[in-house]
Amino acid sequence: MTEKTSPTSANISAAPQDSPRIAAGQPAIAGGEVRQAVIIGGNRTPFARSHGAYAQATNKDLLTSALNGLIARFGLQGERIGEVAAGAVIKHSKDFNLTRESVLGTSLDPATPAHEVQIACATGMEAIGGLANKIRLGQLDSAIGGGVDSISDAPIVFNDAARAVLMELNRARTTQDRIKAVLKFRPGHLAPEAPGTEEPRTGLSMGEHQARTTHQWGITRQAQDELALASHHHLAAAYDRGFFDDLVTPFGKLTRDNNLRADTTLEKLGKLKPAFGRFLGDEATMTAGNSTPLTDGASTVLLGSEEWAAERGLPVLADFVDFETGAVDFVDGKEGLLMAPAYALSRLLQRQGLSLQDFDYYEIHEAFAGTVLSTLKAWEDEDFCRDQLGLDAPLGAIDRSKLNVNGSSLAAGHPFAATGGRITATLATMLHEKGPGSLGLISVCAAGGQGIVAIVRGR
Amino acid sequence: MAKAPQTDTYTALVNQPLGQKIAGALGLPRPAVLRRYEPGQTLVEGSVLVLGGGHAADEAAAVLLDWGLDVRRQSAPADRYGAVVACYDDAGTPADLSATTLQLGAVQRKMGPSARVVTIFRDPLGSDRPAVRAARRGVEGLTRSLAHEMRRGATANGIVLGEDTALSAPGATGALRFLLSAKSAFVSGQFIPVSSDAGALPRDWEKPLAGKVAVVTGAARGIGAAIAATLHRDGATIVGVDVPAAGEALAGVVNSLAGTALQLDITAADAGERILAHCAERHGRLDIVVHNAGITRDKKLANMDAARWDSVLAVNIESQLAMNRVFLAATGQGVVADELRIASLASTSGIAGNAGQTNYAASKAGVMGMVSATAELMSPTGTAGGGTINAVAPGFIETEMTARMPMATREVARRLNSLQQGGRPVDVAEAIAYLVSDAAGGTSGATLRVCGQGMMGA
Amino acid sequence: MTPLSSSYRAALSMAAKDALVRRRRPQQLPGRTVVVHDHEISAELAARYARMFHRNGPVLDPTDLPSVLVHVASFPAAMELMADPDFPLPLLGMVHLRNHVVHHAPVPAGTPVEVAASATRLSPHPSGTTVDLVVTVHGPARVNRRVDDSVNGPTGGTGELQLLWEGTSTYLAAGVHLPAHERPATAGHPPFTAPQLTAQWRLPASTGREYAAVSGDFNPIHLNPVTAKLLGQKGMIAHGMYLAGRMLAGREPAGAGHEWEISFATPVLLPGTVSLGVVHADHCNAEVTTEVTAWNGRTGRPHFTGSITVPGSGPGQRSGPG
Repeated sequence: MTEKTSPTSANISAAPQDSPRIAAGQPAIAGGEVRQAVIIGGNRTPFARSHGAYAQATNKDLLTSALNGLIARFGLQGERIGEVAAGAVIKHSKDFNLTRESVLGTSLDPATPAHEVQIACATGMEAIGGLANKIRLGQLDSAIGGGVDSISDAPIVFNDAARAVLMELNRARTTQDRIKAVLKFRPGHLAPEAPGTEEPRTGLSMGEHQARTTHQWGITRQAQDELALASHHHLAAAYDRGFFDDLVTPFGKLTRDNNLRADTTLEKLGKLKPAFGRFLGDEATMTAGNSTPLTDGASTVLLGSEEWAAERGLPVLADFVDFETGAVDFVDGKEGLLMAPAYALSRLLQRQGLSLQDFDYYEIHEAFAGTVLSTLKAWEDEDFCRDQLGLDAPLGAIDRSKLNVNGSSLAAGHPFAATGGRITATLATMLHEKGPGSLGLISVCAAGGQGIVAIVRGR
Repeated sequence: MAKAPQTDTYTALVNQPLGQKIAGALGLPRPAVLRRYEPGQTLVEGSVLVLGGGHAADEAAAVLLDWGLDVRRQSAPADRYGAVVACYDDAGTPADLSATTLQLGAVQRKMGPSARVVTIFRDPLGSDRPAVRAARRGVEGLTRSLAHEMRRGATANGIVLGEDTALSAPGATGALRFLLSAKSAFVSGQFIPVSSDAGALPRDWEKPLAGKVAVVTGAARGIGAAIAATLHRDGATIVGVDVPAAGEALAGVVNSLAGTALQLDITAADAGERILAHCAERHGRLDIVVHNAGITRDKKLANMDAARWDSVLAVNIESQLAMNRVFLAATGQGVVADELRIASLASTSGIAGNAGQTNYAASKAGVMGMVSATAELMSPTGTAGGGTINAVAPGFIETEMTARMPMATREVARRLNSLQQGGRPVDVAEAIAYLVSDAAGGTSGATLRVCGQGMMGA
Repeated sequence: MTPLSSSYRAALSMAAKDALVRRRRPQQLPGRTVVVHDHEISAELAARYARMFHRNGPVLDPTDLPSVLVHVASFPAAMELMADPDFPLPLLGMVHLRNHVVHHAPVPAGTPVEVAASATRLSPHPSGTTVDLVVTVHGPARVNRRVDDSVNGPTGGTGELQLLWEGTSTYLAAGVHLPAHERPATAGHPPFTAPQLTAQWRLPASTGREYAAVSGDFNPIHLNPVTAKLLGQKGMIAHGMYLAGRMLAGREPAGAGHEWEISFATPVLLPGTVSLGVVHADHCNAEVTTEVTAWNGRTGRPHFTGSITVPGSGPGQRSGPG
């Protein structure tokens, strides 16, 4: 095992003299120049359909494994990383310090701080974006962002009524009070509540919400199935040519995402019955094939300043340029639940002075095929861009051959908080292959009518 | 870290007082518990007797004294020897072997457990004179037979000096130290040729690989993981390579050694380039390559299909040839060390053959062929001069793979060697660590067997 | 104020007595108004009410109680009228048809208010006879505290009372046809077309019991499938005012000044899932009306329709996206 050094008062006080950052100039937070935050690389576990290959694994197991793979890939044993930020959308309350606990289970220096982030399916993006900003400001030299989710490890909670009785029991001081509390138990109290993917304010699942959006934008079943097919074929091809050799470390018995169906066809996808939007009757188009399944998995991305990477001989794949979070009023159906990225993008492009066509690759998270296609259609739609985005002209169409070229969530699966890390590391690798200055766009929708878009530039 | 191989229950049993008695009464084999290397350990437990009247004996005595050992040139009745170095470098005819050999025999019972006999002689092919070559081959024969006669975990091996090579040459001194040490626990009846003055002795014998960057393929488990751990112990920075599917285990190994992991199928066309690029970017250099990755796809030849044959040849030998081409071409261009050290895993199956392993034996015999030819390329006069390449041929080693053998087969295979037990992955790793060290710089193109003097191919 | 449970008990025993002596009920509504002075809605009740909707509703503001809670706290006054032997319609078996509330100003908890209840508009209905119960809540006039507190001193006390809240609940006594009234022809139901689905409520079996515990309305049709069936229902059903409360949760403007109504079509069986469609209609920037339609997603039959109209300039719940 690597020797781990714990900070002593001696080396804390010695730090300022040793720190190259201070010597090199003021960090932006102290009045200096803003610097680049670079993406060094990533690592994730293969993603597994829930209640399957990872049924016995906890969120902590998965996140620790993803961190271990990253540490091994980049030789970070014993390294004090500036900060590790990750999160899980669905986690047990006992895992309040999930990321820190995971860090302590690795060979990173135990003096590496960690915190939790959570913005539903965009958790990974928020973790990475926030850390990138700290690096740009000079608050951090290195960071690891990521996320994990395991529906298989989801907490089962008592329903509200049972909880009320239990809390009363807990507060009871006398035996009499305790008996009184216990007598309040009813058989119905034992029915546990499993966490769902329902929106609390509407009671509708994400799929039902998207079914309405998909229908409103007139996205056909055929178009959705074609997108799903492309996702599977692209992901399989990427695995076959070793694209993921430096991005995925196996976990347990899995070496690839087990939702991947390399041999699926339009005919097979076409045979599936609609799974969402049954209220639409014959016009329902969303199936289990063109929607992501519940998935378990974890991902991590290593970020740093250029100097930090250079000092350690670490690769620089890309710059994390900027990101923007959006939210829409979906509650009474004014806007689709998963359409927030469409709004956030307009602001991000404006800020960076870019057009939608300036990108070499587009990574639009495939929560549902309908989400991707609705978003693309909205950007092409004159009325939407004028009325909702306040633009003179639509953002326009993208070159579809640049979309999700190494597959996305429909094939890989979607462990909510892990998707941002998967996409960021994948895109950074693609942009690095493409060459310096190449641009990539990330769009990730999230529950609660939110979403994050981000720009990554190849190095 | 490598998974602990299954315990050899039998060896444990016969080393208990009761088991010892029973095994003795029944005439069953009584394998000893071998002394194995630990950092800080005494090189030799007990005195070292140096026999012979040539230069080598004087040189040996000097170097052993330098190492702080209790050196004797004459045996005394009360002495207990941890090692005997028998020097035959001056033998001109078989009759010259007599004096030294009989002295050696006279002290054999005075040697402790896991003691060492090292014979020193010159390369038989180095002389055209029949009497000289006969004498030198004679030392080979007596060393092999003595190895069979050694008891209680003791071994006998030889160092074969080139015609102009002195025992004080770094390579010869390094070989002597390896064979005397507990690092050669499972090496017996073998010969290490030292044919040049190349190489250097380390400043610190505890960290002979300090500052070196070593690539180990197949590092995720078994022998590969043991090699990575041993090279790391000796001071090297480890680049662990294994197929992407073994990534989780590879990460575990590498993280325990503060190295870096490279998930890579070594049969990929760009495998050599990717390894080189990784070493260049992350570590700025490449000093050592250990070709450990290998597969078995056993079938009798009559039942062999193309997939089994081709995959074994592709992984076990073709990939090594392709990667070596890349490394040798890059030698001396900044990243790859001028004195690149390559070690490759052969197998006793490649020497003796083994039913059901025509493909495996072809690949492993191929490794030995490759090593001997590549050694010429890497010799100071070759096209990629300066470095060394050698092979290690393990015999029966207790690994996850051998643990899957049927119990009876395994039990027989274990005992079919002079040490009457299976070796451990670390025994192979120690031999590799020695061969990739600068102290083995005088040895190239050789195949060292780590087999406890197995009967197979003896 | 008489608790609802005792009103039910009284009504039950009266129904039994009526059946025994074949008493004829009066044909006219009682002219009297039940007035309850110094009625306080406790903060504890408000908290219990808020807990029912805590996943959807806003954070409870004890100075500005939810409309349905005001109804819950004041309706026993109307019950007193309905349970009276002089009331022309039998309380048991009455069907809640509609509610219309004008919520003029915030109703605070823990502050004495005056509740008045009267009955009006005894009207014939194809299935029986309907009656409107009008309840008003008056409270101390609330001037703008933030500005004038120090000038005017504390409000309340013996000061002028202001109308804070007025609600009209329409009930149908099914099968009761008063001789004075002509029986109107059965109007055909217009075919129901569900609007676009925007939400879904999954109501557990305990919904009725939970609402009963807060509202005091322990009508057996809400509590237990067996008693509900004995009383002629297909099963245990949700309280109408629970549905109204859930509809309003998170949609009432801070500071009141809004108006809402709900009309019930078919009962919501418990446990059950209700499909909802919400549509917003703007009226020339002056006010915003939200129309809510609830139906059974399986059968396609409507449960209720409702609307909430809030003043446009008021502190809206949300602004448009973008």
